[in-house]
Amino acid sequence: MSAHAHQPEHSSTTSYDAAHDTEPEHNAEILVLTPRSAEPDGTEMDTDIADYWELWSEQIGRALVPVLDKLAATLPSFSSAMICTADGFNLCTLGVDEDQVTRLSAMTSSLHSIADVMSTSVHDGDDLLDIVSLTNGSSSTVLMAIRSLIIGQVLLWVTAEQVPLGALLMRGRVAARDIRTILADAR
Amino acid sequence: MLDIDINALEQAIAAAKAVLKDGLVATDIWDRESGLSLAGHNSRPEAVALFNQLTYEISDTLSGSNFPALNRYYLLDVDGDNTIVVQRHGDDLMSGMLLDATRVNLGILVSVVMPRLTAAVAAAQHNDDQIAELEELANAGR
Repeated sequence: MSAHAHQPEHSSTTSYDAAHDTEPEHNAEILVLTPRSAEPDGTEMDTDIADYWELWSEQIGRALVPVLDKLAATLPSFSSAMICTADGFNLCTLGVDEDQVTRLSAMTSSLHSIADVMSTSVHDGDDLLDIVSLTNGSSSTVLMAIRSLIIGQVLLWVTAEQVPLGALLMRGRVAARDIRTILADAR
Repeated sequence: MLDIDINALEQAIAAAKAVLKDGLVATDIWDRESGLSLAGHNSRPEAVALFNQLTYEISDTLSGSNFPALNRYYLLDVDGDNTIVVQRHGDDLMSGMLLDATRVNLGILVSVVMPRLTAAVAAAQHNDDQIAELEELANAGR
């Protein structure tokens, strides 16, 4: 969806930078978000953003790139990370092959949905699922749901090799905090 | 919220290993709240969880006995010429080392390795300025 913020390599160099340097100057169009009432689960996307999704997803993806860069800088053996919407649209990735991004974001959304249903069927209460962790040999992955944002809920996926799960969870929580700082729904 | 540079923790462990050499059998640095390891050498997740619990119990015992509170560390002399040292690093982090006592000089451990580990773990914890600096570095890269 938002290929502009997609980075196939670990490098901080982004494809949109080069394009940005050569593009003609644009006049900014300011879209004012209309107030909305508080939404209890914090999972619904603002309707104004949904109406202009192509525009917003590109801007939001760019804004989130530093969060993934920081993750890569602070996690040893960082493999990949991705931020996508709850319904499986990529916003920003790092260390994922470009041809895998769409597939991975769709699978991440499905995995979260299935885990959420499984969790509510074995745990009491109606709390929404926060974290899914996967371990495959020396590779660990955490998937976190971050809610109450201007785009409702996003999913953060982080994978690293030979890193204790505690370290991955801690860095994931810091990244989730950074995402909330950038996309907090203050209305 | 904990915000710690895991690379820096791994460097701290490598530095301890460089001094203690084969005397360092295993070590972990962990988050006190979750009882999960953040970095380690021959990491022992069960030991991390149990020593985390044990340390709370020691603190409770000292408090319940009206004894002075647990301060920076405690040492255990265990079978097979082994020593265990558990250190507290503020309210958030702890570390533990399983040592071969026949290969480790106690003076080096207490006077060199432990203070260095304390300083390195403290330095690995990001304050707000360091977080801003990291973000600037990340932004400067593009």
